[in-house]
Amino acid sequence: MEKEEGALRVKKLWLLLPICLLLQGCWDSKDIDNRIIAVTMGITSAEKGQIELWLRFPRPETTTAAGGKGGSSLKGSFVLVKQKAPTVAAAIDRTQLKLSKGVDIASVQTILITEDIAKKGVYPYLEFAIRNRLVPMNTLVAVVQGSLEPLLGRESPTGESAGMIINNFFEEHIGGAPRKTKASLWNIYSRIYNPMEASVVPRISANDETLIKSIGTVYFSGDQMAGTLTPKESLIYALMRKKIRGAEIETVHKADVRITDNTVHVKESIGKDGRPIIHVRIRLVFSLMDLSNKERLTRSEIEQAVNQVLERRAKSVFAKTQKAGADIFGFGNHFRGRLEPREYKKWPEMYKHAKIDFQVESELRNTGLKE
Amino acid sequence: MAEPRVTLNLLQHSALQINFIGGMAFFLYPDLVIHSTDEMYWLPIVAGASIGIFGSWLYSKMMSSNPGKDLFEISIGVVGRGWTMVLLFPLVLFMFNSIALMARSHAEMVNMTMLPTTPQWFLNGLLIIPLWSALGGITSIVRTITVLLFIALPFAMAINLLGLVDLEFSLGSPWFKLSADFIRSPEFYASSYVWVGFIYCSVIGKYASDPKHLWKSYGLAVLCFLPMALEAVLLPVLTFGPEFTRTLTFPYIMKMDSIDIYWLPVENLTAIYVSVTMIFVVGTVAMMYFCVARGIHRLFPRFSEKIILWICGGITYSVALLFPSWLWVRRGVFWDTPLRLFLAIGLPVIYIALIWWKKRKER
Repeated sequence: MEKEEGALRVKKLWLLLPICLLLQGCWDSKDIDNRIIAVTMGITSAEKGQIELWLRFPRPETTTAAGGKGGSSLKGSFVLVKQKAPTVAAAIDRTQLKLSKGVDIASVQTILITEDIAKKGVYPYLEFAIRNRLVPMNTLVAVVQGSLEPLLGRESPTGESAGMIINNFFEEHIGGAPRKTKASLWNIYSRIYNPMEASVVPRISANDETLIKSIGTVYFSGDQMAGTLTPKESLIYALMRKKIRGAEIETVHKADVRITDNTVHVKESIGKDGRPIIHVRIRLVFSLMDLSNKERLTRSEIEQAVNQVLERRAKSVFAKTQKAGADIFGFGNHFRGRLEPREYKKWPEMYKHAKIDFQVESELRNTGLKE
Repeated sequence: MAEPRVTLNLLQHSALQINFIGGMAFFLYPDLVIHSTDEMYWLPIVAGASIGIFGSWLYSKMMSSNPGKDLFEISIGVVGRGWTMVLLFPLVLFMFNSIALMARSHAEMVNMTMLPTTPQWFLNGLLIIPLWSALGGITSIVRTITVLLFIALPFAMAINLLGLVDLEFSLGSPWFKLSADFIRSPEFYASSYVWVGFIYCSVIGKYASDPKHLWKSYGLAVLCFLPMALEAVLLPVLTFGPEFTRTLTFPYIMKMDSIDIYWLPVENLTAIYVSVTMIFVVGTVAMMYFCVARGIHRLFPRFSEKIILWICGGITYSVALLFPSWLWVRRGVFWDTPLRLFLAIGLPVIYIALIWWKKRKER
């Protein structure tokens, strides 16, 4: 009796096995060798209100050829495909008409947008990515000054694989630096919806020697480019976002210091005249890197010099962003508890008239191996 | 043949409830909570959980009147089979709805995030796994759920910890304000679907070693899962801000997508998150199938539970396919709300009163 039951169970298990065949999810499978994987995407405007999409696909064969073992006769480490269409999604679709492999944009690392697109407003050009998860949400975005050709059409001189150079350029643990603002797709998109905070995107241009150069930061009002910050001014943004560790500051006394830590305290209130009042206290800890000045500066003189440099620079950044009503520091979020939700959309206008009190307190932790 | 006596201790009940909340908390819940209020997003969550604990206490009170019996047996004893059919029809209907809604909503979630061209008839075929588990009876379900929890919970916790990057706490302010605007919001009541796992105690409460303390096992499950429920809602808000989060169909999935950690070897966290959610869903639907089949069997004892289970499987699979779009799934959760709230609070109150009246009459 027990033997019969056991045999029945084994039969049932065998019957269940064919179900496993269904678990492969055949509908959405496409073998890796049948895909062409884009890693960089460029968007620029074209005639008749269209856009031109640039897709850069690394060519895997080249790696073998470079190693000296492969037999690839193909030149270059990447394929660049351009396509005009009314929308980005349509351009991606039309790109497929030119390629024998399936276009895969799920691994795009960087989206480059030209300034004309940024000035028109980025919302319609990035919407496809959010709605259909076509590209990862953490894809980096940068605004390019000038044409995309010198950036996307040339090989990397520093040896990175075809797609990674721009990504590595901004990545904190690789080539990133506090002066190079880093912005992901979700940063930009979420701030388009948030009236209390404006987006920032790094601004880059082509460079003959190294292919790419950081030339500052673009700030947005809504989804439109409202102005730019220089790399030095971008440091204030990094300072406020507590992403300044490792940054170097040169004071007027030719003292170079390296910031090792910083804290930010924001205190907000609304004045009797209805103007927002924002008190910002920054505490910086730094070490001395270089003192080319022959005069011997005291510890407090160096600290004072750093405070003055940063306060002066911050003043200029606040003036620029306030003029455009672009609260790139997210001060508005601190007012969420003080304003009614229906008043949030007034924030860009309120920010223009906000009184910002910015103070830096710095502390020289050490002077290196020399006193 | 007499059913072998099975008892579940409070921890095993907690495991069932944790699995239920896990299966429910991640798909529509963040969307509903964020739409229910403009401030203090944690308050509707804590309020929902507190109402859930109150409901579970009512169920404990109801089930402890007749230990070792399920609500259908208790009801037949108190009001007879005819009235039981009338009074407990909403309960059976609710369980049916819940299975179909869960299957379809998660199939849509997989469709929108990972497998865009895979047909719904295939994705909803997932129901065969919990159905198979339910065919094995309560012991099989509890064992399956316990094993699945050991697999899914560490992943769920790890995902939640990884989600703690890129948070800006000022986006969630005001954190404390004298306001309960969510009370007037239909979304708040619709979000109650996460906290009503105790309704299934009307069937599985029969196996409780101590039905009087069933609410404690539910409370323990809520306490264990509350941080994750809070994170499911607050992580997207504190990352993207409430305005953008409100525009998203699956805010938590978007949060997973946005995570960029240099040392993390996993590129697609969303795939892991969806898989973990599906594990919770399999266990939860197995429990639901068992409860609905047991209930119908009590009302129509001539049909065997296995036959009822196969019929239920066929019906729920067909109903899941009948939803024309995601919008209808969302509507389904809203339409289900009055019935759900009645079953959570009204039904136990009615039965507690009926049992008290019967006992008084007998005396």
